[in-house]
Amino acid sequence: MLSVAAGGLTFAALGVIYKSWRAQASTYLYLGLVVWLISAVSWSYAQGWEFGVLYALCIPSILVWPFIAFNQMHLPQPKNVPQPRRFDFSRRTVVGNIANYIVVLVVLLVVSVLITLGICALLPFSIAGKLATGTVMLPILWGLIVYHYLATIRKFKVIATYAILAALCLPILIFFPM
Amino acid sequence: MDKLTKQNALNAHNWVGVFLSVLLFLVCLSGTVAVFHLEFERWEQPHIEEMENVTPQAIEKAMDSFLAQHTEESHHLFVVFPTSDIPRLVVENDHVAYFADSEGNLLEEESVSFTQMLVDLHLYLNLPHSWGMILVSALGAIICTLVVTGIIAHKRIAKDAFKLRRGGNGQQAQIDLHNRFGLWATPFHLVIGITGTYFGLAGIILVLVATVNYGGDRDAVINQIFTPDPVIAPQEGKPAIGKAFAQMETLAPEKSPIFLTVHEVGEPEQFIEIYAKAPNRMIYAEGYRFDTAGNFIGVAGYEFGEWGKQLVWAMYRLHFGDFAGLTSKWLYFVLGVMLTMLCVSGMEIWLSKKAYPPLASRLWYSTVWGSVSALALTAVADMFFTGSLIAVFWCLMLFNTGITVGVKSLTKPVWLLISGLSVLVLLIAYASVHQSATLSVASLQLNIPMAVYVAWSLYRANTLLKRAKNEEGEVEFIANNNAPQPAREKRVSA
Repeated sequence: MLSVAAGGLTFAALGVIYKSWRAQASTYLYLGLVVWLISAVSWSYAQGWEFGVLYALCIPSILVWPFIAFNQMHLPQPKNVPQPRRFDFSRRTVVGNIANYIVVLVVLLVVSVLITLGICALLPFSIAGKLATGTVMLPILWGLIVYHYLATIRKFKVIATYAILAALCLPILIFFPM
Repeated sequence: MDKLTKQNALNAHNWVGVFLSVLLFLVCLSGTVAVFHLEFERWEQPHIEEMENVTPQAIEKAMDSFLAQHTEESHHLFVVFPTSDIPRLVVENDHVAYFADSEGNLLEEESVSFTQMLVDLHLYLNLPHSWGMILVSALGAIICTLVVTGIIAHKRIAKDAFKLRRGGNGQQAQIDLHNRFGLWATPFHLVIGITGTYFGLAGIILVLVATVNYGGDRDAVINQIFTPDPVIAPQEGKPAIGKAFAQMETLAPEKSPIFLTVHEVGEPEQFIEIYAKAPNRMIYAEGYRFDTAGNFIGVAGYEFGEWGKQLVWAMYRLHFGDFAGLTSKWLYFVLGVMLTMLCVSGMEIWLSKKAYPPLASRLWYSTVWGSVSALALTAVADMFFTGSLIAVFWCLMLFNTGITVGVKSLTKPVWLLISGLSVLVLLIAYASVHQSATLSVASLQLNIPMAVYVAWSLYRANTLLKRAKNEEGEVEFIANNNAPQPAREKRVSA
């Protein structure tokens, strides 16, 4: 029963946030967030905090669709239809893309593993805590480094910087054993 | 945030999304279907007796009968209890598994080739396991990149939060769907990305830490994260699994026993461990340990162990959505469909910005809907063929690619139609092979959703085909009355 109430509160929170979006009023936004927090607490009471937090975070992504469907609109047919564009298969582009694959999937993997472990080795946790932190931190760090690498035009500089950081982490791993 | 930062984030989002799209799609699709991997195992052999519970005597009898028939050397023995997510009794060693009825009589060998192929596709992309798992794990980090860059690149993230603009040439609807799926399901995408990365990269971290800090001794690291084997006096004799199982009612009445393992069979270190799921907890299970005579030794200590241990031990359930029965599985399935649609819509936006290059568009649709068809036909092949299902699946995917290059009429609605018909063929073949068992719960819980997919895909394909026909008619009308419009024709054919 409490789960149903928690679901209702999540839906109500989305409704209030939707109202704030429609009216462009921040008061409703804050109210919506408060209702959502209450729903998270209700989920936790109903299902235990581990499931509760997950439900509170994930269920809005499903319950939001009635509001999106309610707000949908139809666009007219466009008058102009563009010509299909050709792909760029020049040698420079192909080599560039292959290099990106290697850097993103191999080089930045090594770099992010070393940096993650270097940071975790300095944390005041037991080895289980350090490695658990590492498993959560690694994909986020790797993802952010990939973003930095792909977003910049100074790719060599970025790789070199992270490689130096990774190299600095090696002595940390040796001198601060887990 | 300034315009340049947003543009740079969009460039990064585009590169990652486009160049890893096929791999991301296959992992997301197979993962979404594999949420029901235990249900698929039941579905593959629907006629096997199902039960709510089992007696210790039946377990003993089943294992005795199994060991009498299978004398090959094995380091482990397993019993899967009907209180796991599969309401069946299974006895197995490292090589083979058998079902047993509620009396403990052996029934038939477990045969779950299709489920294994599906899970293998998700975990390794059917590549050699060592680097297949690393590649798939890398895609977890890539999902994190896509989430971050997608949020930064979105110019009107708050303004468009509830918008869905349909009609027009369909491009805006794709963009809106992509952004709404991406924004609202961000927590789920991050959970999947982070936990997905764990499975492959935990091994690399382990090797590195063992090499640098423990002289290459991996077990020394594993023992600090997971509980090491108990130190017990040398053991001998037949493991008293029935006696051990019988104690679970008093040791942990609130928990559901999942399976039992006899470790180090026939060795002096032999011991019994029963894994039981704790209610409302994300950890995989708590381990209850017994000596060979069935005397309780202690617990492995996952339930109330250190937070780091609990977090690592929770990764499996958090990734596969296997923590609150069918409720959490359906939640993960729906969210998984959103993640898969995110891959598909992202690529469609990219194609639409290129005005749908005909061959690239056809190849993408053959990958998306052709892989659904290939999975369905692989499941059909499994009913009549004992060879490698991985080979069957990839031959079908290659065939789809080849045929889509050669046949220009294989457009999106045609591929959608093919996928629906393939699932229909699967349902018909399944009914003809399994006959009366087709109406069992084990069958219907998957066959009904599949039938819904068939109805939806046929309806949707029909709508799209009609729309394409109307557009073609419009193009002909314009061509007859005005100047020729080759671009339009190309788009329609795409």
